[in-house]
Amino acid sequence: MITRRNALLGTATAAIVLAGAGIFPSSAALASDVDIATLTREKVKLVAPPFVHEHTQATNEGPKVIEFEMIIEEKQLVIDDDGATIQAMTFNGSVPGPLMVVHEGDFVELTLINPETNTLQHNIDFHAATGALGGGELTLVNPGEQVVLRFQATRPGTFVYHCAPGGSMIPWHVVSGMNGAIMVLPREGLKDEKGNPVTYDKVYYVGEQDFYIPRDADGKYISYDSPGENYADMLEVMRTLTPTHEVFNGAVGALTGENALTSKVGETVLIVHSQANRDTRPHLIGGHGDLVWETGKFNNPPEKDLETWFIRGGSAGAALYTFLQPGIYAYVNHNLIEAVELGATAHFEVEGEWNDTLMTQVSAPAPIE
Amino acid sequence: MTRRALLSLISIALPASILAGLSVFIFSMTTFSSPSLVANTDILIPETVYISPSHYDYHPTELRLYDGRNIAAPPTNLLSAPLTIMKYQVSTNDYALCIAEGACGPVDKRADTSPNRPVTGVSFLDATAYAKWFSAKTGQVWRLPTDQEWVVAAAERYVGVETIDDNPDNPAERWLADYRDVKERSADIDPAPRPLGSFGENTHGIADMAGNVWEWTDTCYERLWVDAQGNVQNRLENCGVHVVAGRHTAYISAFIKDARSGGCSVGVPPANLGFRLVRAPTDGGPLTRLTQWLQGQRS
Repeated sequence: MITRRNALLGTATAAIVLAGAGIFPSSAALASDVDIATLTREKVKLVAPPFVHEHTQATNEGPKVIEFEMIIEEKQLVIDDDGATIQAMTFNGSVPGPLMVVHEGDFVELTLINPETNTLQHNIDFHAATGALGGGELTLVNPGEQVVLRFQATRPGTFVYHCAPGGSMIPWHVVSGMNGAIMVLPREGLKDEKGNPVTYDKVYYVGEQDFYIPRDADGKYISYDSPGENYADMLEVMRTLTPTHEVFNGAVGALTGENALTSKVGETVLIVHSQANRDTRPHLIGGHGDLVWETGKFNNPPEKDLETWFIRGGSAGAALYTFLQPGIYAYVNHNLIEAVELGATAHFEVEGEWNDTLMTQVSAPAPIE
Repeated sequence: MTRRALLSLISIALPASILAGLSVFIFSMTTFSSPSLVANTDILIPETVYISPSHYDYHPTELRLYDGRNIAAPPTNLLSAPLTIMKYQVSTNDYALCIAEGACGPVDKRADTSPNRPVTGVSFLDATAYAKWFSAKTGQVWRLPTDQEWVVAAAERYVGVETIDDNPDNPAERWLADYRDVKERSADIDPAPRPLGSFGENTHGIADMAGNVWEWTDTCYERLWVDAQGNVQNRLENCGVHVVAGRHTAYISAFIKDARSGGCSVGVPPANLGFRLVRAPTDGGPLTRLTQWLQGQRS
């Protein structure tokens, strides 16, 4: 007969065996053993993208309950240099919403607030969570309401979260900016394809967004006074499946010029890239992805030396790169029409010494001899 | 009538009639001095500003290579030739006339074609087609300014580019410096075209220089090879690309009507592409020279 004691003993034995084989047991196996009330609580203040709140990479602390708070903000945003606007729906006022970082086995406890000033119902679906439509069923809030959801981060990786209030509202909210991502780090930090630990000096979160802005008879983008007013027009544009804008961090040029990303030769950067709705293919012009978790899930060994990686719509991936040359880099969606004409471009300003062996101009342009 | 009386009459009548004829002629020249408006299909000569020869600092756009690396061309102090340039940029109204007569191509679909604005969404090819048509229409010779002429006309409105020499050990230094320079220089100007005159006049009394419309010039992309003293040893021109001028100059391909996605230029692309014309001096004879002198258009 299998008693509870036997079963638990069996699990424990298996865990020891696995631990002995160098593989940590997954938290899922120990889920029933965790008494959440005894866990340490940590409150984390979220930071606007492309920056990420402070966090440890490898940790020897046990699982915690990480408390987050997000306030839903419906607001008008200018999304290009011609002044085109959208009545955006945002988590914490930014498109994308902020990146959350926890460790595998942690519990994510989110207080989601829908202020009275908003006009719509909202909720949240965490791709990292299990059950209840990612939490959507348990988080629907009217203006004036708040809700608290807790889920266990059982799978390490980068995952999208987005608003999904039901039916046609789902795509409309998502393409109005209401999405973001969460990174669940393995407790021992990231590892390369051989299992050796790797760390990053810096992390950036690039959230890519497709917008579908209606145009008037003269071809000018229409400005609306509230989200509800744009719904019917926007739905028509959405159904063409062709965005009018494809941007990083909520607007054309948002990660360029004064807001360009920065690094230096020898620095290792992790770029987390999400697209909640539509496929994209990031590429660092002048660089590579040293280690890329294209699908974003850290239990899979990363791919190496990628020129361009594929982030399938509805997911987040992560790429690690150590800069080798100084200069200006463009980080783009390598559908170059989307990169240049629709806005999917970010810039890196990288300081440091030039490596002439890696590249040199043997002779400068001169008239043909 | 006696011969003496006849001579007296002629000595009065001849100068009098010449003076009368001259004043009629002058009067007919001076009526066409207001900014052009679409009244009907008649073209009106636009208001121009005459700039007498003056010293100015010229910052060349062309790329200079010394010893295989790009070096910043130092500004040179030059003496300009007499210049007659349109006070305002060519307007949507005037360009529309050219299109109506089948001599000019359409503006970019996204351009603002409201009346009394500078025409925008036009390429170098459009601008030269307009100049050709306008010359035929007016019987005068009109052309795009060279980049040097534009800088003279812009006076204090032209700021120029600060670029550094290539470091032979680290080409990235100049790329980073140029990127940061552009960041500092790009003020957030609303790109929507405004009514002619909205950006005010400069010290020459020319309107809208270096506003939010970058103006085509006749100057082609050029690369120079220089020696240690800066003497030009070789040059190569690419007239598929032309200089556009604003707060600083940039290179744009000749067929581009809308540079917002960038061109051959580094950094912030021009918000709008438009142009104004220069009237080349045509020696129309002594009466024309006298008229022009009276109008202050000749020294």
